[in-house]
Amino acid sequence: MKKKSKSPFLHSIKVAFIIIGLIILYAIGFSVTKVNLEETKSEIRQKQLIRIIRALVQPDLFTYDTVDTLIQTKILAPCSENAFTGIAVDPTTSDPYLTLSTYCANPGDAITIEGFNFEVSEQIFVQFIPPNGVKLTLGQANTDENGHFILETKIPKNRKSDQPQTIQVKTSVYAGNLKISGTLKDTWDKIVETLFLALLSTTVGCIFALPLSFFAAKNLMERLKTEFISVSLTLILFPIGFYIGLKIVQIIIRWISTLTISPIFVVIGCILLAVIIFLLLRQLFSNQKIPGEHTSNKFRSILSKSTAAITVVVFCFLLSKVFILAGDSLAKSLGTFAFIGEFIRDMGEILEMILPVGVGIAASFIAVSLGSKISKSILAAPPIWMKKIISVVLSVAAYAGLCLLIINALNFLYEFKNIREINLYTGMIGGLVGLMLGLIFQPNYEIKIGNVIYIITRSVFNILRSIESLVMVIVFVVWVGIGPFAGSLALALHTIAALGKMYSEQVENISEGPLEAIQATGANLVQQVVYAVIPQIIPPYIAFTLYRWDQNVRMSTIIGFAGGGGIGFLLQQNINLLNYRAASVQMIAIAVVVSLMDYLSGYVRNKIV
Amino acid sequence: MLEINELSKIYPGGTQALKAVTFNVPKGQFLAVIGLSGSGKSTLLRCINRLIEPTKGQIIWNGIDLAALPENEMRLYRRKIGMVFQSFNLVLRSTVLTNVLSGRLGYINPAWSFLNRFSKQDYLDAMKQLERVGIADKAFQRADELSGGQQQRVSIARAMMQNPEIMLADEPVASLDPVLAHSIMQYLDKINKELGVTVICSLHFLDLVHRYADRVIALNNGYVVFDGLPSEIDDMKFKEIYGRDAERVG
Repeated sequence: MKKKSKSPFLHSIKVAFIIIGLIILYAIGFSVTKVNLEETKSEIRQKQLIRIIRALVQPDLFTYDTVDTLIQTKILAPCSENAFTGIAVDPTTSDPYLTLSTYCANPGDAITIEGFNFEVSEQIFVQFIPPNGVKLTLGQANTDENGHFILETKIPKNRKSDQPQTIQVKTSVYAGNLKISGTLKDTWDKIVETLFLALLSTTVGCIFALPLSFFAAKNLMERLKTEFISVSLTLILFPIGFYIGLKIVQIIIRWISTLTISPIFVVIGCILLAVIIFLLLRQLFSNQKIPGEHTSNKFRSILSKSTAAITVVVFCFLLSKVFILAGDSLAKSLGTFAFIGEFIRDMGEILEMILPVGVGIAASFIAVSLGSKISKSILAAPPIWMKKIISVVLSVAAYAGLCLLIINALNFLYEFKNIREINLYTGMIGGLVGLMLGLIFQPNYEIKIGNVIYIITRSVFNILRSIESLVMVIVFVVWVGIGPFAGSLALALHTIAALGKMYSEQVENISEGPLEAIQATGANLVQQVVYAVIPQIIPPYIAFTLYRWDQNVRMSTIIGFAGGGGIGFLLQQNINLLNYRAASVQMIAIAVVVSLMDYLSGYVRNKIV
Repeated sequence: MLEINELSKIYPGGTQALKAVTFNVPKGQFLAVIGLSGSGKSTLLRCINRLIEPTKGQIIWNGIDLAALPENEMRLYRRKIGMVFQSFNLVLRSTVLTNVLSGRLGYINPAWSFLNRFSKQDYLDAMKQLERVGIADKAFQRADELSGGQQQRVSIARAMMQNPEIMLADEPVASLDPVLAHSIMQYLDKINKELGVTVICSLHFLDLVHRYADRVIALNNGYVVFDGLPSEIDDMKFKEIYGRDAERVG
């Protein structure tokens, strides 16, 4: 319920103040943005503007083959004893010819050049060619309706010669058919590059944004609650798990690498392992166990699970090797399609690169789930004082460890001099914080850990999103060099943040009903996401991904300005060379592609949603 | 036996939806919950399976206080409590069969369920449940292609997949026409009478209450204002439940 305003007088004063405030606000805006109307009226600027606009509306799309004719006459500069009377012309001819006011002049002297029988209303450039052949433009003139022009100019200085020098006009006559200009061909190449640049960056961004978006969805994350003690255990076990996972991968890779196996063995091993993994998975999940009920033989289950995990790691490593080998041999044998082989090889290398990280993350999640089991058994133990002590000890260790991790990450960036002391102090501060938290919170106090994750993810998204990919590309150009690869990396990073945010908003916008219903069946949080959230968000996710591709196409037109490849590179060059007719072609190409993308994505959206 | 003791719910905004609600439900009873919109019916039903966290009080079922359970254990008890909703709450873009199968999610290994894999037995059960509500032929259609009445039947089939001992029904017929309303109520009645499932159902129409319910509790502004047989609701009681100016329809 809103209160009614006290009196109409007060109300109108309020409105007046708001209006005055707005006027001041916009006045400041004008002065800060340096609005200068005089500048817009300046005649020179207007002329330049018109020139550029005229060039822009005449894109260099098509050309004719041209036949050049050179109309020449000679002049002696400077004058000397060699009497030179010029080249005689027949005034009755219908061919174009040039006459000069004098056929002998000193450098710097004024001279009048006249031309007859040229094309009507044409722009003519008159060139001066000394014997060394370096052309110099004397000036330009426009022919009248009789094909006649007069140009008053000066003989250039520093172009002295005792031989007669040439004054020339080049005219081009269109011949043959219309054909595609070189600019259009270059533009086509670059627009294809741009499209693929945008496609790759969108795909990579989408892959990373998909899982991350759930962490940035408030409606899901606020359900995630964990006991205080479990949070401490997670903080301790996550990095330890990551480290162990990383080490295991390194050991496995080293072990396999020492075997120096032949390519055939790699392939066979890979296939064998795939079969074994399939059988193991079937074994593991064949009897659908009811969650919460304990299996009869825990030790055997753990053993078989860890065997399966190690087998999967070995398999992935071998698979990457198979990809690299197959890619190499394909690249050699495919000829023009060698790029397919290179692609497969790259895929293998990517797999090899991400394997340690992936296993590290998986291991840390396993460690965390172990931690939640441990914390449950701690909470189930009867004496309360013991629970409290364990909880305090764990939280001291956890927060000291967390602070140490953070400070060491900072150390990597800032290269502190006295890292040992700093480590000691941060460890102590973290320990103190942990102690305090441990004393304040009961071991079973439910912390809304989801909200913490939500805030962190959202902040990372917002920070990344606020840095334009145009800025990011500068860093990537340093890393991987100028070109479309740097551009796609920068766009991909920006896309992760942008799509992550848009996706997470879609998750927040889903209708809660189905989620509620699935929750009511006793499904866990991940199952709720898979069954109630994902079906609802598929259409908007596709729509947003297409929209982002479309946006990335637009962005990649700009990213070339900073060295990121794509059509922007060409556009920038042409603008810098004042070649506006070529720049116009690129702008048209961008407009065409962007609008086509829009229609296409609209069509696909309609089909899917 | 389900015992609700002094159950209270205060929403973060300060609205007190339930005020020390206390009642018992014997096993196998068909209990109707009536009251005006906003009287706390939905909150009450959702507190029983903890879709909404009660602020205070106990929900004792088979000797266990559901209100005190941590979320991951509550999940295991929720499996035995089916629920149907006024707005059906089907996942509209999934097939009818997937919607029904999702009733099994609490029972199966999560790893398989991510791949949308269910056991053969679950598929057979799902088809059986669909047959029971008479729409087995729609199993492979998308849920949004179904009419309201059909959707509510799918929703019942989904809840039945949980093999429930209690069925919560939050105004299951409020979005349906009278003919469909009766057919849905008959399904609930059948579940109650034939399978012995306790049904707690919030309703708007008193004739439905008279016809199907064994017992009625009425809520007004978060308080239980009536607890008794449907036949005991006379005009006086009616005014107490719905307010002085209320008039009976139907």
